[in-house]
Amino acid sequence: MFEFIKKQKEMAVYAPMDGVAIKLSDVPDDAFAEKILGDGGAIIPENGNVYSPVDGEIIDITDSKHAFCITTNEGTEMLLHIGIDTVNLKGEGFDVKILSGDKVKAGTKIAEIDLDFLKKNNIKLHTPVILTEPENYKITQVHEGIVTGGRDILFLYKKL
Amino acid sequence: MCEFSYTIKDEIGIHARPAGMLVQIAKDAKSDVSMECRGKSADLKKIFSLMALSVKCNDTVTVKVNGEDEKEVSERINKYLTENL
Repeated sequence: MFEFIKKQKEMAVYAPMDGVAIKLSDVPDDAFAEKILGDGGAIIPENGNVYSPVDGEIIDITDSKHAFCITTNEGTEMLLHIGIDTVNLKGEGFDVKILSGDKVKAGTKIAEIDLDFLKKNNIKLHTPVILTEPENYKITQVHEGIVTGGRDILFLYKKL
Repeated sequence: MCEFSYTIKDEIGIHARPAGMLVQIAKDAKSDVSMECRGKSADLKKIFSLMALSVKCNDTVTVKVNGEDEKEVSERINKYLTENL
């Protein structure tokens, strides 16, 4: 798989959580589904462990702890956004394991989330991972179906 | 250059969705667009840059638009802020 990626100059973004991978257009929030924030893929998680989807650096964690800005080692900017309307919880239910400025590897555990707490608060759990400068990249393959966080690929992309 | 200030009234500030909308407006502009808050400045065409400002409720932001469509873009951003934030 790695040789394949290298030859095609494709880069991989791994699933950030265990669960079911879905198309970004199936996320029940127009800001994501209509790709206003960028292009990528999404997960419906089945447990609360969150892993870095790439090798890179954590640039910013929102105060509400549910959104992570990550720059990959290749310089690609991406946003990992856990749940829909999670901002309303103001960080409750989130145990973040890393700090802004930390270097991470794909699969590094970055947070633990109390999914039951999110569900109780009627938060939809859909978790998009998107490239925030879609004009610079082409998504070449998007995985759908059951994935293991930090290990299975969510989508592949190329620089334009 | 067009410049205006706006005080955020939304209790959760500029989070991912409004940030995406603002960046969309800025990206469509030919002008350079920046937002300043608490002494820091962000390129409004870049979502990372804007989110790193972590604009909160009651923060006053200053928007600067510089370029050929500055008047129109400034008005669009002002309208979006007034209606949504």
